[in-house]
Amino acid sequence: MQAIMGNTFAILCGPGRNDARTLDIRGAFLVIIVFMKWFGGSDADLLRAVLEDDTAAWQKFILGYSNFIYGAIVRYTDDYDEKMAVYLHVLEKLREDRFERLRSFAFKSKLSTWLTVVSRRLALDFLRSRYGRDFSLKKVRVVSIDGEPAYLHLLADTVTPETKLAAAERRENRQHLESSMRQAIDKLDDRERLAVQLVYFQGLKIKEVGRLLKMPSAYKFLARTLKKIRGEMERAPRFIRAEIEDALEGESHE
Amino acid sequence: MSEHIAGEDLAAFVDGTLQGKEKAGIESHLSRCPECLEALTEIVEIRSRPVKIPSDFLRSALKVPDEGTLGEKEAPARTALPMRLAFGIAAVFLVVVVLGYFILGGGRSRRARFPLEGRDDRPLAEALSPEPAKAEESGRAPAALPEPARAKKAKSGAGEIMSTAKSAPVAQAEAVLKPAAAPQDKATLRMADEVAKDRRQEAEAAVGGVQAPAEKDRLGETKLAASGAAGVPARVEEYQSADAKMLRSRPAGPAAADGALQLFLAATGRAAAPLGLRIAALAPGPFIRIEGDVSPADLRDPGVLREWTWFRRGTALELAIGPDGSVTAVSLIGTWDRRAGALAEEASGKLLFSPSRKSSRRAVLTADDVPL
Repeated sequence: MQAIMGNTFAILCGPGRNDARTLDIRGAFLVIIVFMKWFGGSDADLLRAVLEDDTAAWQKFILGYSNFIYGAIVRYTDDYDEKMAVYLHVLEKLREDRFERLRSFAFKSKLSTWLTVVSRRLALDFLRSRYGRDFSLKKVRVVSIDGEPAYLHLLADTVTPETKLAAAERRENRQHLESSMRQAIDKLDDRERLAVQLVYFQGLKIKEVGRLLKMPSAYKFLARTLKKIRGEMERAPRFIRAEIEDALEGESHE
Repeated sequence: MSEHIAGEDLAAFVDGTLQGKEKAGIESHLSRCPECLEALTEIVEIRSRPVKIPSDFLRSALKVPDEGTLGEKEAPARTALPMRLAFGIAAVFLVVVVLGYFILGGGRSRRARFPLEGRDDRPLAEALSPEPAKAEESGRAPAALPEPARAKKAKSGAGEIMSTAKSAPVAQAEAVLKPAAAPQDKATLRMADEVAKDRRQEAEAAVGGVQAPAEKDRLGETKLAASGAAGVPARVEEYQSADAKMLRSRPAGPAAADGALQLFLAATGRAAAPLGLRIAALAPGPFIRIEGDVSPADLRDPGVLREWTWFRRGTALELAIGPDGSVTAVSLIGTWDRRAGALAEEASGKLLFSPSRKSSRRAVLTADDVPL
């Protein structure tokens, strides 16, 4: 990019011939530069104007980027008034200390992505300050139930000493299996571990994880990683192969 | 566990702009920090589902009152509405003009392009002469008429009509019509001569029952000089020939303009609906043409004319109309039987035209089987 800009500058300002063709080329480059400035530098220009306390620029910023702020807020609350309060809180925090947060933005990412990250953080802080750390339970509707459902009595009738013993054995086996799997995952390298966690524990799509980690063949990568995990778990003496396969199938969501 | 990932680094990781060690460090941290991993997952999910903020939120943020505009939606609507309205009116007007041309004007111009069957289609000078075919064939002036009054009328009428027949519109119309009518000229003239003779005989037979009116203006062009016994046939001939002349002298352009004007007057409420008349004319029943000082658009209830089944082709009605639009006098022209004449007088008296400042107006109603 710098090379292109350098060549452009040389063509525009260099000691070239001033014939018609050279002037045409210079004009074309000038148009390209104007377009690049118009489309490419809009975020920086807008942010610069906002930091200079330009009210019109701030309004333009609000009109242009509120969708990203709002998108981060609606994930954590459904209440209209609460959403409004959080939204205004985020804007207030962005304006705080003469746009200190915006001033810290170094253009390492897109402004919209950074705003999403910041808005999520500010929204969580706001809601946690109001409801405590487990504010997300507010979304779960608590319904009072008069007495226990009938099917619980039916299930209670089926509980026998044999079934209790079998259940305890399954629980113990599962705990051992989970700890063995955790140990196998810990032995993976960072990239493999991150991919497995994002896909099988956080529920992201394999395609999305491939985009994040810049893996052109994410499916093959994950297949190899699962094979590694299986190999580690097979070395554990306590479990037979069929149990490991069942456990792995239960963990995978796709 | 080291500190959590900074917001901008996390955003850069999501955008994929990190490279080398920086990227590896973030990946390493993410693989061991559940909180940052959760944050990454949520941000990816938020970015993959874009939402649109309600306008209330923007109003609150910008501190714009409810009735104010945000510069995105309401502002263009204020300027767009009049333009849309103007284009709509222009489109409607265009449709009206086109409809007027094809429905109202097109018929008349099309009607004038083929020879009028059974109608005296000659110029008035020929129509008024006793032996038109002979005169044309010999190429000489018509012979002297036996009756002095008739000769006087023919002479004066011919002089007037000849002077008007050579006016520019008539010459243009005849030039347009000439190629189509040329092969049939002789046959048409012969047929017209026979028809005129028959009608003259019929009119002379019925002269006792019909009153010839006094001298009146005839479409502002000729004066009827004849009176007495020769009045009725002369008047019939004059109407027929003047009618044919008027058809010839009306090219398509003015006819289309008339049609559009009628429709425009009806649309603006300044005249009765002419479409009603035309639609009635297209329906089965007699077609009635209204000419003179009024037009079909002036008729308040054009649908009445559909009931005039007794109005036969070859007959005509002359109406005197008062300033309020009511019919003050009725004259029967042509051959009428007693019953049809009574019906005509009764029905004509019920007609109502649009009012006018003129003290008296005149209308001539002619019947035709073929709609224009």
